[in-house]
Amino acid sequence: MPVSDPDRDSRAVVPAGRLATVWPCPPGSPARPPAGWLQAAVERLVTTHTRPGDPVLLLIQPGPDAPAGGRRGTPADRRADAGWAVARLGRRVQVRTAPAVRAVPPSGSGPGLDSADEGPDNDRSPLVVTVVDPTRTGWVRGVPWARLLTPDGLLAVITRSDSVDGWLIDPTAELTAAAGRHGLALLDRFVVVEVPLNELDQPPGPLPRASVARRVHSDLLLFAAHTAVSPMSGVPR
Amino acid sequence: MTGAAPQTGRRDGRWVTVWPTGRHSIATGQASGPPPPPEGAAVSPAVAAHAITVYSRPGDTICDPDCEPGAVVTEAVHARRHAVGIATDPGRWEAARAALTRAKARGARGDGMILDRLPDRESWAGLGPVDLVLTAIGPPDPADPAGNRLRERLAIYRDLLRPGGHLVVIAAYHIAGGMDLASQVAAAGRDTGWRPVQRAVALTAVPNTRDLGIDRPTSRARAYPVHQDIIVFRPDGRRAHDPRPLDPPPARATSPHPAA
Repeated sequence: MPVSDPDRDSRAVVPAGRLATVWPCPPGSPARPPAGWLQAAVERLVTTHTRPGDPVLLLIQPGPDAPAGGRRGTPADRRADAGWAVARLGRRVQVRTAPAVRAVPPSGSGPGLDSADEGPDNDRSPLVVTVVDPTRTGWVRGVPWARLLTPDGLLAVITRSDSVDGWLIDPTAELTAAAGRHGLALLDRFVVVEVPLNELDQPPGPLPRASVARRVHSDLLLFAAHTAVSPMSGVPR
Repeated sequence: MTGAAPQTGRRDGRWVTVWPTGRHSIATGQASGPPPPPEGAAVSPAVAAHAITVYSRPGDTICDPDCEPGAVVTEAVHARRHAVGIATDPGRWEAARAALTRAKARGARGDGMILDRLPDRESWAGLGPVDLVLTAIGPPDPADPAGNRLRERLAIYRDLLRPGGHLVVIAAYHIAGGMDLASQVAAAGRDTGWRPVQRAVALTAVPNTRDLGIDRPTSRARAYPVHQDIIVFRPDGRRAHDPRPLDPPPARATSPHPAA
């Protein structure tokens, strides 16, 4: 497979200064367990879009998401690992929880992003990273994304598409709309592979009825200010 | 940060959402310049073969209603499926017919034909029950920002497929109007009576963790495509059903068709 004429034999090349749309999961090692795809993705974001000393904001989805009984590999553990990775790369990492309510509180009291909402420019980050559950996207609307970013900053949203009861649940439209309310437009959509590539090589057969394929990737949506996004795909601004 | 996957239905490690269909290594840029990126509406033999293997069985009938350059029909007949390609452009028809002839000459066991238009009431025969509609969709026509032609195209496909069959669309990586093409295809499918079931990814090159391009870009350029998006649909028998309302993207033109 396949058996028809080959299409091309040339070596595909990623041009300098551009990222490939697929980010493979790094192979496991004693220093990095295979579950480190999220940490690896955050590291790639940080190294390609910030400089040492830059602030990087990791914004956490509100709601119950606490470490569980010392087990590693929970969502909170992966978030902590991502934070450590940012700090290890020499960036000033800030980890904050987004407000659970739709509107940003007007006062400075309580947890949330109210201070960032009204804060000075030096509170802004060139890179904001967050992870969004595709079934819990409502909180995204209430975050003043543009006010968290420097004028040429980037918002990276890591999410996924799922198949639930035979329907595709894809949060792209909601996330794009939420970001668009704050002047941000979709710049790129990356595929973050969660398993080593050699796990993909099992030869498939016909998919059994009422089945769906196992999800082995997440999506990374990269947003920038409308004015920073070229209308032409593949063309540097 | 991401919780347990809420996917439902039986799953197996042989079927995953990333298709290992890339046949080329990739590396950072060279002075000689890169080949053109895979942004067009083309189905490679590897992607066609994978889709046919997963979403059909031997003896099934597969249709590519926008046949170019013939990878779907040739891979189908090699896989012991029957294939129907439709190519309205004479040049495309010739190319697809030649590819099918070569496949048969090489011993392909399935039967195939290339039509120059969709059968209608004046045709002597219809397509018969089609088990899988497999086709590629490229970037939308700039003259049709609302996506009306995309909706028309997807609506026509509904009449081709037997109940219980699959429509598998291979979408080029393309972002315009505030949305990626695959998401536009999924939305258009919902509008035209299709039920999007799953999104997947077909690799068009082999990503290498050491050579992905990690230098800080001097200018912000869009990513270089090394994949195509896959959207799997089934006919929606409950067109009024929608698991949740979707917000329209901010920059996308309003569809004249109400959402199903």
